[in-house]
Amino acid sequence: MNASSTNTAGMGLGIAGLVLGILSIPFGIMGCTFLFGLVLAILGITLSAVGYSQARQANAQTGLIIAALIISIVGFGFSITRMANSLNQSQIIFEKARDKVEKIQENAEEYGDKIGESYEEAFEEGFKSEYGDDLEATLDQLEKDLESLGDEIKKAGVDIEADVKDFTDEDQARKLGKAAGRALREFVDELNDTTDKE
Amino acid sequence: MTHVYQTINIVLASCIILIFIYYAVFSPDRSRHPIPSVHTLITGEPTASTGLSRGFSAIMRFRFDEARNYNIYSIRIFLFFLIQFFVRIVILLSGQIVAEMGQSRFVMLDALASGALFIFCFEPFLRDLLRF
Repeated sequence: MNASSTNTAGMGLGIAGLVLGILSIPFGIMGCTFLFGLVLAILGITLSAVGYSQARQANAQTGLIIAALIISIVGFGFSITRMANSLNQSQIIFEKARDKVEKIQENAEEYGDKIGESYEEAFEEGFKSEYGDDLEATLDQLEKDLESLGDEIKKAGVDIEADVKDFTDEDQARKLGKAAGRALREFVDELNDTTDKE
Repeated sequence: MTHVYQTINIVLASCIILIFIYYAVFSPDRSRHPIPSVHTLITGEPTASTGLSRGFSAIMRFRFDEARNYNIYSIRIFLFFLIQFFVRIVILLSGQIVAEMGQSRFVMLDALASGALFIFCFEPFLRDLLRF
């Protein structure tokens, strides 16, 4: 085996590893290019490791290759530190943004409630000025009236049912049904007219 | 000078030339450098090195005031690479001096000087990196 080739076993890879390691340091330090630096450092470490293995097997000099490995590891360290720094900062920014959004939501809800209350007050004021009475009391009375009306309709329905059962004539039953339908239609039309006028 | 040291200097000088060519090709005005700022992409915030690419591109066009506006450290970092480039060329051309001095001693001196220059030029970024 040639002695000179034995002495330089792994040297090519060591030189490549050294250059990559040297370049990975400035790129790894800067926030803009740390990923590029990381790739260079990993390549440098890989090439240096392989070159070291070849040199050891061939009993060649390993000084340069070890230096390449160390420099690549330093570059790797810088890149990883920068990456961790960026990720940590992004998490802080995300949490601050989330807190801001939550605060805005709370403020929006509070503002919405205040708006709703002021609209409700304005509505009641307008109602009272026209109708002359308190809205709540009017609604309570209206509810009672509707309830009693509902009871009366139910009672009328029961009476009609009882009457229909006693009918012997089909025509009489038809006439009663028409009368009931007409009465209900008139009532609904009157109710709709009143609502449309308002 | 041994073949190994020569090769390392040639490769480093070539890499620096490629860096200069990259920044000479892309204009600082339109900001279309292919390598994006990863930190800004992740966080949305600028960093100490934001604007460095545009600064380098401006320096390559001899617009030094503009380079300072993009990033105040751009000239300092650019000088580091420029000095390193000239040092590599000088070492390649002065093989006799290296041989007389003794290569090991020269390499050690080269490594220490380059390291010191690196720390001086990149000191703001190192501070930014180690501030968590």
